Amino acid sequence: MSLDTGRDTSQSTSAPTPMRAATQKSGSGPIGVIGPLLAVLLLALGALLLRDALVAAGAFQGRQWLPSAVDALDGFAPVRWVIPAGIVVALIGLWLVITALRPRSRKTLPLASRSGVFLHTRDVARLASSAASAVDGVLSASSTATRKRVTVAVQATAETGLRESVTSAVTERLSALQSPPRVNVTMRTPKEN
Amino acid sequence: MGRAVLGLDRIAALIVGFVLLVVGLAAAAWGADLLTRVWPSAPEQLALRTISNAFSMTWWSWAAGIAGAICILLALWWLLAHLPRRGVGTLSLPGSGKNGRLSVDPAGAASTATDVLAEAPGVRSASSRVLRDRGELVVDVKATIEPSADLRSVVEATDEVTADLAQVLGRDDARARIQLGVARRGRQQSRVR
Repeated sequence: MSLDTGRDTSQSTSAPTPMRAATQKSGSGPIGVIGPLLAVLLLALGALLLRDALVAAGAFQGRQWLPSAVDALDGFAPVRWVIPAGIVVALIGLWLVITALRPRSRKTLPLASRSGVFLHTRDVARLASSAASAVDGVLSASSTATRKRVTVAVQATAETGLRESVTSAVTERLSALQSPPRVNVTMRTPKEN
Repeated sequence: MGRAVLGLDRIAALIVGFVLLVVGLAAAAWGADLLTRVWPSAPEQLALRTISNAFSMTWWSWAAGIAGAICILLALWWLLAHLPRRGVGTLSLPGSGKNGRLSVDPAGAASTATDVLAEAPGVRSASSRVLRDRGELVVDVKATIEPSADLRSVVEATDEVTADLAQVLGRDDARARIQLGVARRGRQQSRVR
């Protein structure tokens, strides 16, 4: 298997060096959604200001929305609903501050390779489920994974010795990872159901 | 989406979040008649007459128009900055000089490489794009593998393919980022290898 580079790799004295690994990708998390959302809100504010400017300049008929809103709020005195509304606004603000300060999420694991190969934790879980399902006596398996731990839930015909077999199979399947996560297996037999 | 844009998202979210937090808490405290404890001269009702008067000034339409246009332009730039990165064009090869320029289309070479990778045992499909990320020329490969795939042999295949690609591109600054995805369900291998 090789690209046609005009050379015979099988006869070369030294194997070609794989491309060096690029910096690992990290997810943007919720801030990747908040940014465009704030941009849309800024766009709406701009459109509102531009519309009011055109109305004020007499470009077309209508009421200016911003002065109308300010006039409606002038003289407003506190009422009961201001308390929960204020708390909701403060909570949204607090969530925005926390989201803005939270580090970027990283959900990929590097494999032991020379060319930068990565697996998402979701895919690590799928590999673990597949490895567990292939063990004799396992009826079904499902998994969840983080960067440090894989939890495999197994439905099996009997529990005796199977936990070790499943742990071993999953550990072996994930051994190509640079830092394989710890494997936890929870068993469930038909009697328990 | 670059890191600079994410940084801008964070700063904007932090500012908006802080403003909402302060305004929300102040509103809740005002509604509960507690605001005077921290601000003894807090008004009993909103007094927006000064702002209201400003809307009737001659400069208001100009100011609103200019501010609106700036907001719209900024928002559009901000939204466009969130669009995914476009691939790089042709790349110069070593040997280019006054007598001529040697160039290569990296996307074509990378596409051939992924076609080769897709033929490897355990690999279902593969695609690639070449982009600039954090100052690096990155060959970004996405490959879907079977849940039962042997990770070590897949890694060997990616190392081989990127080694060949590195030779074709002839660029020392090229880096590889291979993201493996695991198919939800395995399928019968119909191809004869």
